[in-house]
Amino acid sequence: MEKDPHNKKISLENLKKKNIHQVPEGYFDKLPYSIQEKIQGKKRSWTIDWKNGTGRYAIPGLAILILAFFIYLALPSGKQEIAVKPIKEVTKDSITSNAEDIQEKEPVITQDNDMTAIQQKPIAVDSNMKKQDIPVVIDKFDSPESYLADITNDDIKEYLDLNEMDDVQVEELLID
Amino acid sequence: MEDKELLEKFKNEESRNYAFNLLVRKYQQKVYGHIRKMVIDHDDANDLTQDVFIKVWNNLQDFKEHSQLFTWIYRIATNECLNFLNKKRRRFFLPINDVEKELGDKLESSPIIDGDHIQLKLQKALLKLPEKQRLVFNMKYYDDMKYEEISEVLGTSVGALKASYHLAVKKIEEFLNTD
Repeated sequence: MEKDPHNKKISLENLKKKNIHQVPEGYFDKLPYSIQEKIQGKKRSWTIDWKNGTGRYAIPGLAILILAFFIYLALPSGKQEIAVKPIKEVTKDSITSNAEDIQEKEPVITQDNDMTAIQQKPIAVDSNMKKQDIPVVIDKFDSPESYLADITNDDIKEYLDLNEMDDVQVEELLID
Repeated sequence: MEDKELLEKFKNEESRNYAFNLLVRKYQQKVYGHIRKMVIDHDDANDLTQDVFIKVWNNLQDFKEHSQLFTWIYRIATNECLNFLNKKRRRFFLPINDVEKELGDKLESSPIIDGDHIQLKLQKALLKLPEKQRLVFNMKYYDDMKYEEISEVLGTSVGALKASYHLAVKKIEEFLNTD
């Protein structure tokens, strides 16, 4: 199709081939360097230079970390300094004296509903347990094995009576 | 330097960087121009051009020379363009028209050489073509490539390319001659 002056038709053949896209000045001078930099950057990210740069500090640093870890393991830890007494060392006297001293504090609301005036009211640890019974219970709990061996049907009956269980339930729990 | 010589130097580790530098300088304008016509925006074209040459660096060692070096590089550039445009479309869930509209807007906003508005109209006409047809047109019209070379780049038969180009010219001239 050729350009017709009357119709003024545009033909590709008659158009000049132009590159209309502007390119920043010096772009093609810098482009090869930009590409090389990217390639070198990708290379560096995958390899560690053990002889030069930061790579030479990697092995000594790692060695120090490993050493520090083993030293930490060898030393007594902070938690061990906290004395955790074995159960054996806890005496009966300490338990009974502590049981006497236990007081649960219960907020008592005054007539004015004034919550700021909290009063302490001592409450027994176990209303069913008498003071003289405590050493007996402790005896049974001195060692798990002795506790299990010493339990008799009478002990169970007493326990069940305290808990108001009926005869059928009692029968079921009694040791054969 | 001939492509064969460039390849030989590239395969030698000592002269690899030098050969690659020469290769980039030899083909950078054509590759950039090819990409820029497709994606319009300079920054996008710059990124894609660099990606193309990085892929060339990574894969040139394995280049089997079944095709010309230039058509091989052009194929990489073409794929980069198509992937870029597809990603753009997928990312924003845009239909094809909107991607072309976006490119058209970029065309409008970019400075035009010589204030040639007929050239701007031609570029707008190109944006209306399907991407592969646009590629065929650009390679034939602007880059003056032979149909056989375009066939190597796109993997399409010479006959199909001729038909595609003929149709593209018809569409563009219709657009140029409408108000």
